[in-house]
Amino acid sequence: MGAIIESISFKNFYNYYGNYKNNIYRFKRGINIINADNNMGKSKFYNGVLWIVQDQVYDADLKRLRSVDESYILMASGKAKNEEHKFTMGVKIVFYEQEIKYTVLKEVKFQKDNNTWNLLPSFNLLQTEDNKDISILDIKEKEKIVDKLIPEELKRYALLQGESLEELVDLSSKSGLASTIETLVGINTLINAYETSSNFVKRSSKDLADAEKAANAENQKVLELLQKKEGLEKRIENAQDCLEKYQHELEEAENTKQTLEAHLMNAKKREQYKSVMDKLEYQINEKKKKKDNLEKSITTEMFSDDYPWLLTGMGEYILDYSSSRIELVKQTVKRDWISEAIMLPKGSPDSQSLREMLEEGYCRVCGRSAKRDSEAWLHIKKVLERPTSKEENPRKNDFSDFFSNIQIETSPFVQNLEKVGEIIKNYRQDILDLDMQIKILEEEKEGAELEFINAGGINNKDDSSDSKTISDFTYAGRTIDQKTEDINKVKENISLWEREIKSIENKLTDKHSDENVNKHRHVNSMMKQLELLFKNTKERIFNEIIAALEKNANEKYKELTYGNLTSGGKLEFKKQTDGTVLVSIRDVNNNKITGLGTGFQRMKQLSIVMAIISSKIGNKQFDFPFISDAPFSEFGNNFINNFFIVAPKVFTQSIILIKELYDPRTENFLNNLGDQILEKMKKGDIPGTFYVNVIKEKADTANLVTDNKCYKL
Amino acid sequence: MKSVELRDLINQKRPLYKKEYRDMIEAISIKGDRTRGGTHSTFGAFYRTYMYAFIIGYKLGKQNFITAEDKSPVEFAPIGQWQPVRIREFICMLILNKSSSFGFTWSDLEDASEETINVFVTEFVNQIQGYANAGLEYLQDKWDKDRFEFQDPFVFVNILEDLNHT
Repeated sequence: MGAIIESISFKNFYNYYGNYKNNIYRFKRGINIINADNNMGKSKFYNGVLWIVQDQVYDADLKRLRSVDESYILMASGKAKNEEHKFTMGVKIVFYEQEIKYTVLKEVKFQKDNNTWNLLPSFNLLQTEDNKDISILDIKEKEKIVDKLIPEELKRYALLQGESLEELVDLSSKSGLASTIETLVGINTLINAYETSSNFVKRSSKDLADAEKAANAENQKVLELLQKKEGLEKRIENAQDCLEKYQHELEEAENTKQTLEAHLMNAKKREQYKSVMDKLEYQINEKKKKKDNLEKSITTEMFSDDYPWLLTGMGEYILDYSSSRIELVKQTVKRDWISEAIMLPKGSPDSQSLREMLEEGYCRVCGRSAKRDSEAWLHIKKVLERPTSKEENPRKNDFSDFFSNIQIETSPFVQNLEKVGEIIKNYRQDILDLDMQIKILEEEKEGAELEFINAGGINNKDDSSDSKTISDFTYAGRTIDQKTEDINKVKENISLWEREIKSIENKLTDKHSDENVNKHRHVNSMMKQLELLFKNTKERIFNEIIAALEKNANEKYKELTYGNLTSGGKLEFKKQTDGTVLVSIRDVNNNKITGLGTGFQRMKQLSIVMAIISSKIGNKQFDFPFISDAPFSEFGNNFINNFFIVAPKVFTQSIILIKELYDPRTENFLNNLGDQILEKMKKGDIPGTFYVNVIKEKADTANLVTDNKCYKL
Repeated sequence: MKSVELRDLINQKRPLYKKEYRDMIEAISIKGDRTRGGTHSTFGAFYRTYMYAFIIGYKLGKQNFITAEDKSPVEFAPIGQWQPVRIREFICMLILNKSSSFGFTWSDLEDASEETINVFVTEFVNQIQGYANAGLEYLQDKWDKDRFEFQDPFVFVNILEDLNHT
């Protein structure tokens, strides 16, 4: 019988601020979905489970598991740390196993003294049976009960996180394969028996050699044969050491290649998106520079020599000026003409006479008084001051150039200013166009960033590890080829030496029939048969398991990829020279398919996990909670749909932390696929529960508070 | 008097602005980045700000003359140094268009004595000051009430366009 989780709740744990009752998720058999956007608590939720089952949390920055002892401060709610001096952080899981209810509670009390947090961790476990609560006090007993939630050997299959999905089932290393086989059938006893029989073979061979030497102390020829045999055995032993070393190196290279292969698709993608992001960033910067220059030039355009925006709509004033100037010119010409017309006739008084008339106040022409400042006096004065010839300008000043220069300078504006309105309009449009282009490029860049992050990228896109991954992958491939060749060579030698030994042994058998020697020979032969028997049994079980696993994994793979437009091929489990198994994807003609997207690679792994889980217990379901915080985005909607159909057949209870059903723009935060799955759950087509995590209010990461909405219980 | 002499008289004049606008003029001329975090909405040269303010005052049809009560008005660059020349001449043209409203017809100037011409030039500059200080007053008001608007790189164009529509 396995375990079923009834609820998981949090208190001041990462984003989960507040008490357990405010942060509780109740679960059922079937699929339990927690749908949340990035940074809304999926990985934090997963870390809560990790804390309970193995006292670790996954550090996304370091990309590895860390002990909770060194992570408590990070695990506590930012809001609680900022606002309170004393609080408790904790995770509570309630689960059933064989009708017994267990409440596991791990907490840390935080208290701030002199700006330093004092931490006091605790681990409590309550067992409830027939409505009776029993506190479990013994730490070993507590750990044993927590193991009932997810047994140690199944943890690697039951807890999926991030890209670890790709490294989950490692059949290409001896330890990985042994661990998987052991998980499935528990054949450690058989392996031990085989190793013991090998030791017996060695010992009996030595005893036989000693007996033969003793029996043939006088026979030089036999001694020579024995010596030669010993020499060959020694060489075989050395060659086997060498073989073991090569196999170890091969295994390491295969491990490296397998690990890198899991990352290779993403590494290549990341490299590709990095390059796209760099290109887009360059384009964005160029557009921004252009826009910036346009904006900075606005004030220059205001004072442009030809089309000054400053004077927009002011062209009419030039026309006014022009009219005034024409008027001035007319007046000047008229005045000059008048000056010419008042030239006096002959016999008129000369200037001296006119000056005397003014002094006397008397007009000698008409014989009348002309008092100072009277009309007549002013007339005489005017006649005196009249211009005496056309060449003599009657005006005191001549500003005609002053007025005309102004007109010359400003007259180009008459036509140009009419165009300024249109120029400004176009200029504004150019900036708006650039804004739009920048926005589109930024959206494209965001898209590329999202793809980059989905491919496992972190914020620091300058990380050069991806190019290293690609070159390490190539190097590992070369090492595998070299080591395989070395191993084959050594094996050929061993085989040759073994044949030589056999020949020597035949000669020795023909020469002697010493009873003691025969007895040892008989024992040695028995031991060798026994060793072979154990070896063959072990190999047969291995082969059968791998064949069953291949069949089962292919069934799951087919179900998971059902309906995909691209064929995902089929999985092939191939035994390697070192006894390990390499899983590859083959097409209908049995050719290896490479270059399939990360989605297919992950489906391959997930199919193997499901196959292992199914194989372990025959046709029954996996009776332990399956908890996944693996990214589904690479799979596509079709896979997600298939997964929700297949998963309940394999796992009694699964908790799936997923963001691919989330859409912040909708009222219920679900996209179309989310709505469809929720509908199926409400109808009972998919058993389970459905939660959506939301953020109470916008805040920086340190103060983020996650809340949850239950759509289906 | 000849045209060149009149031109010299005008070019040597340094129009004034009221001291109270000094901070604002500095901000939008050279220290725009202080409030906007950018440099694009500044005029660069003081005399451009002054010319801009003049156009605003002129469009408003409003003048704000320097009076005896205005303490320590600030002297501006000599008119002869204003650039571009065409826009400076345009400003002169605008004032000359209205010369009769401040007591001088163009034809009178042809007959005026040197003393009268000096009076005319003083009044000419006074008119420029009147419009420019009215424009500065308008800008100061906007600066005080809606400084956020000055973050828009088109702020100075927008102000002119608004005035064209009123």
